[in-house]
Amino acid sequence: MNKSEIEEILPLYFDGNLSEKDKLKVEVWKESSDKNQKIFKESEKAWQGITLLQTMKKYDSEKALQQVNAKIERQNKNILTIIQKIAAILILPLIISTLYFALKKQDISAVKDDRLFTVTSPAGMRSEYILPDGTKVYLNSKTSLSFPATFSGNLRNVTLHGEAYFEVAENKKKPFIVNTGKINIEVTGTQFKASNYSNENLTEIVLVSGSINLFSGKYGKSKENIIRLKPGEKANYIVSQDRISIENVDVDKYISWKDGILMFRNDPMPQVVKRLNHWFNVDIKLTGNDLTDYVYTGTFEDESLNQILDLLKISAPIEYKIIKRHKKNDQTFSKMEIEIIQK
Amino acid sequence: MDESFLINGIKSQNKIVFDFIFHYYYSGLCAFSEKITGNEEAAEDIVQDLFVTLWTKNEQFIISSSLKNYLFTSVKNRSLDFIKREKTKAKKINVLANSTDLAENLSTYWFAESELTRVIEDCLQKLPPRCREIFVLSRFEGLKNQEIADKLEISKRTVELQISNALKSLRCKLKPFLPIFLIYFLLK
Repeated sequence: MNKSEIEEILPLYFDGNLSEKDKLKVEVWKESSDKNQKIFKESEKAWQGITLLQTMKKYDSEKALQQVNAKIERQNKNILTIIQKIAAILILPLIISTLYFALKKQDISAVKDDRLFTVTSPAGMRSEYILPDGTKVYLNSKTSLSFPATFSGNLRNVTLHGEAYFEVAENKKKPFIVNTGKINIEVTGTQFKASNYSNENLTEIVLVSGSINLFSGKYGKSKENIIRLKPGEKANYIVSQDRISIENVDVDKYISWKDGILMFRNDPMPQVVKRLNHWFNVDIKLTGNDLTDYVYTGTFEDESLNQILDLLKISAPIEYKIIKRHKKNDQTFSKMEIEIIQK
Repeated sequence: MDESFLINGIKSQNKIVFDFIFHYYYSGLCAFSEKITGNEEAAEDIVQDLFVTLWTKNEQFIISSSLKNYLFTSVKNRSLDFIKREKTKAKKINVLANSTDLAENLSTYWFAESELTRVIEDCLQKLPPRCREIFVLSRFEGLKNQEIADKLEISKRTVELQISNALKSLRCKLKPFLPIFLIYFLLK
């Protein structure tokens, strides 16, 4: 048996392409030695391997990966739509409960809490607050405002002592009532200032915008309407005479204090002194009657009392004198006292 | 090959690792499944579905032995499932007989394409030159017996050159795999 002949026909043996005679030749050769047997086994392995490799070559992993990616995407989409459906189902009660509580919000404020709160602004200071309904209030020097913890019922009732500027949150269904004593103010939503300092025998109400209704007595069917104010109007109620008068005014002058500005517009001396007393928490006394005829116009923001007095001195024949503070009986010091004298 | 790195890559849905494993094993797994099912199309479906599951159910993916073992075992089970279903459908008893036969010796076919190529090269190196020559000519170049005989008349030196060329082309036909250590660095 020719060795090289076997080598030539061996690979074809596995194909099954050999004639019976050649096949036999290979088998005889294979059995003839261990070495031959080893070669036969390696050949068989190579043949199988190559066959398998050719099977593998048919498959295109590039194309297949694209298909797999598409399948994954489709599955993710399915999962996503399932999640969306679940989310929609879960979110439904959330929406319903949100709506429920949103609609109920009105009622929540109806929970009764009648405790009265009082906010105050000490002498010479100004402060601002926001009430439970969102109304913004500026309190001037020595002012207090009382209001309930919640505005239950049909009204928003507050009580004022001193001077305040209101920016009332609009709520037509729940009128905002300011009790100033004899005269009360009914508002739905507007901006105005009211003052009723107890030592002044005067209630002032100045309307900036919107409209307000002044009445006396208790709010309700029995209320006595007095007058409806228009923007730019000022109502003066003289308590001791039980008399009310209306005038058109420069609104800014009356409300500038809320922005920390002290404004005089053709104001007579007693008026100026009164305002300075409030502003600086001092006690200015006027000596001499003729000073009433002098009127002042000016705007002050950061000026000190002394600077303002010096400016007044320039425009009127006056002198001023600061009187030393003295200790009162209760061990506190008196207010700063100033005397303005006509020259 | 750092197996835990690949397994963690799949668990964390790392697309580069996934693609690498896919390209590396796809043709081998398909050929393996085809061996069992005798169905080219089914083989591709089975392997692709396995990879889809691997990606989407990545967190439940538990490997006790090796990744390769896992992949081939999964394909084997899915392929056997497939022919069982086929059998009940078409009552092809011979398919089952064939498959149980195969199932016993299956690990002979557990190769990725690149691995198999190396194995074949090894085998061929061990064969006598003439024998090797015929293999290459018949299997890789698809020559008929007569053509081989004709070719064998050429001088020995030229034939040797042809063989080395054939082996080279065998390597070239492989998909260019990114070496795994390179991926490792890319991701770190």
